[in-house]
Amino acid sequence: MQILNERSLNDAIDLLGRSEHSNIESVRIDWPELTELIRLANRFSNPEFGAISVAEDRCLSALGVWLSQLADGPIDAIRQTAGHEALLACFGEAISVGGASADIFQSQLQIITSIGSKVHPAAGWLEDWISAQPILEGSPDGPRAGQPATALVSKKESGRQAVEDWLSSENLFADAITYAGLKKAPAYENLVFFGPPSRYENSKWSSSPDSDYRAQWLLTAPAATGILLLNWPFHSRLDVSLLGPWKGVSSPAVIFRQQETHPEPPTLSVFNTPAFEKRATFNFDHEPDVVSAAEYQILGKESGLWVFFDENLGPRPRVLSRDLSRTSSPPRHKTLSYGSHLVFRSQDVERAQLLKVSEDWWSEKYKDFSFSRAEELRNELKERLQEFIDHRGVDQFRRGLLSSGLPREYVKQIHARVLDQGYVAPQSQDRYEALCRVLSYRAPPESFDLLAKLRTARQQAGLKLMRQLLEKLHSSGASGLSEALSDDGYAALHDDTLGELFITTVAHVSEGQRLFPISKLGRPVDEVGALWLK
Amino acid sequence: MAGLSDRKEGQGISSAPKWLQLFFLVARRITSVKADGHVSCVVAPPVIEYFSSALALASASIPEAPLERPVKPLGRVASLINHTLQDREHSFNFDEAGSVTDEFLGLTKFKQGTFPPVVRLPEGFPHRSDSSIPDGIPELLQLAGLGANDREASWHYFQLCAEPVVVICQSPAKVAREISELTSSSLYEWNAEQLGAGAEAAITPDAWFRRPIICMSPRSSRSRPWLSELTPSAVIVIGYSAWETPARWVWPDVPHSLFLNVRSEDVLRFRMWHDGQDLPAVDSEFAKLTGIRGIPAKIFVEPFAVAGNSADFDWEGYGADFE
Repeated sequence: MQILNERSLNDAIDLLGRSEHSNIESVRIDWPELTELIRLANRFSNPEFGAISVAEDRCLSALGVWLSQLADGPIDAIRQTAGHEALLACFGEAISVGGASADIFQSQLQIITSIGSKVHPAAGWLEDWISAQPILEGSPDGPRAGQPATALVSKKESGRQAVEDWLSSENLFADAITYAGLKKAPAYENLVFFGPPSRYENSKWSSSPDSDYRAQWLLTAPAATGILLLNWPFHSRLDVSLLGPWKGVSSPAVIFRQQETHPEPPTLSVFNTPAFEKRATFNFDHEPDVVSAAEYQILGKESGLWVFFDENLGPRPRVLSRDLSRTSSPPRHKTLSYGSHLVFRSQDVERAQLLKVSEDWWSEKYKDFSFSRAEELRNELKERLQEFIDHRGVDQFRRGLLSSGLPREYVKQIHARVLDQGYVAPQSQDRYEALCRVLSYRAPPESFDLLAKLRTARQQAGLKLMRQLLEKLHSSGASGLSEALSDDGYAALHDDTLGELFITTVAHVSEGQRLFPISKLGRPVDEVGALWLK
Repeated sequence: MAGLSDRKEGQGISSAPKWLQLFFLVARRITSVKADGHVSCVVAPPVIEYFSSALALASASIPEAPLERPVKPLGRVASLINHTLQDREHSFNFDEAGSVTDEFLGLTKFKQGTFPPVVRLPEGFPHRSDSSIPDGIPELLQLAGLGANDREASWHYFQLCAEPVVVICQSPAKVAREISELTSSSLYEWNAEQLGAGAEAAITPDAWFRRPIICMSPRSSRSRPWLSELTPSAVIVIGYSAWETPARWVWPDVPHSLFLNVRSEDVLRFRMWHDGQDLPAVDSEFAKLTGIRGIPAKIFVEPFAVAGNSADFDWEGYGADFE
């Protein structure tokens, strides 16, 4: 049966306006490992290569599944649903058979492992790009008032969920939407596509001009003013000659560019001190609020410093790139590697600044004084949840959310996220309402909009503070930070605005996990468990 | 007929959004394209909703030529008596001066010496009950100078209904709603003809002579051979699925406007059909139309000979892509 499309007249006119003034950009992201992986995989399609075994064939199929997931957004390569485990199992089997191609499979396995240990290269790029967009929210009189003005478009629902989780973990104010969902959605300000439009119509293994014709509307009648085609080696190139509803229609202008690189950044030397292990002797077993967390020994004090990170709770590590150009926060479940440089700031100063800059941004943007009201609502949600968990337990809370129809993967970690100091509220209204229902919390009608604004304000404030931090590190890089890190593995800096900065190096990654107080997660502690950086 | 010539000119079209100006241009000038074949204009708006409805409204216009006065019995006719749209047996005689017998005058309050408009119904046209002109429309037309009095204004409405705009589409009710919504929007100050036409668009061709815009499914043409004996003022086809049916050959002499749904299979199917074809060139200045940014448009002509192939059309398989 045909589904009635309830698009409004305003939506239709708005979409036309976007088509008339669209700005299309295609950016290619470097990903050397993936390029090499694909090159090796393509060797099997050479007719001269000869027949491959069943195990090897299974390997290539699993690789295809995994790659198609990586092609669909800046997702975590070892995410459970990405098929990474199945892939490793297939490769292990193929290598153990020891056929003529075993060497190639061995090389591929190494690359797959390497890709799995790193952040998706599009993730960092997109983080900056999304945060830097001049328009973050939909227009107040449009269908996206208070909602994100940017959306990332995945081909499949599984990809959309992965992207949504990534956006949520990075606290980025953007929607994740599927290609099918976009067809009926009101316009956005910006849309990000992964690969050329044809990818959204291609079948698993094949492509043809048919796919270009079916998906050409993404560029000829775009559902946003700004269109970003983000490509990495897996994606085929865009053929603009195939765009247009019939032959002869002039194609839309597309600006092609390569991923930006920073000119001559100061470079940190690789830390070369041999690994040593010194486990912290403190004991928090008697603490009521403890959690099992990953333990890292870091440099900075002779008697030892440690930091603990949890998969769900507390701050995430802030890793400084070797060229000092950016910091990134790897996914929570990812183990930090030996030699990584971590940046810490004095917590009190950071929190106070975040609050102040958020409020300033809010006042300037919204011209009202409801910031403190939004903060109150944020805290109230946390208190309600804490109260619920204290009295009825996490399991009861999860069951309530599951019966509201929320995805299991989301439900699994949401309680910890809500309680996290930096978290504001669920991004989508239906999830927010489900959460309130389960908590029997009658949220004021304006609460969702205020919390959405608060998220934007905090994100903008975080971005501003991050820029200040990087500027400070850059200037310090020129004046000895690089040497200090190379020689000692750590450096302490003071800045009148940013407070105390501590840049250090992961000197040891402990096996397993140990109990640690939630309140001190993500903060350096000394040998008696005291906070090192107030 | 006071005011009829005035409203044809200007009408503030320059105040319309650019895209609507494009549709006014198509509505008014597509008939100027003369070619030995079926003249069509393909349009690819960003979404399928509303834009085709806007062209339907832009195409609604009272024909310049007045209805002919019948001098002989016509048999079954569509007519307008007072505000009631009726089908009648036209069995009485008119004299050369156009006066009618008392039998007819008993049905009307019209002044002696005038006659109700009548148009012969084709063979097989369905029997139907009487219906009324939508409330307020004669007054609206009269206010706009279309008719010196209520009777003349109502007659203008009947003229609109006699040569309706036909919209061939998958969901006639949905398109009719869109048309109604457009007339009440602040998008543009529609003139009285357009407002009158858009007030209650019909959703079946059986409403011919009763409503100025008829939205119909392509299947409707299959069981109504009499349709080809009637002449619409314009034909708008929404979507390639509707286009490829034999419905587009019911009125080959009337220019058609095809709206592609660019978010569906339409572009693929249209390109597969159109790009490889050696369609005849069109010698017309208007045929150079390319549309505007966001709404490409193109005039093309299909040879009449193609119509013969439509007899084999698979109606059973029709619509499988959207049902």
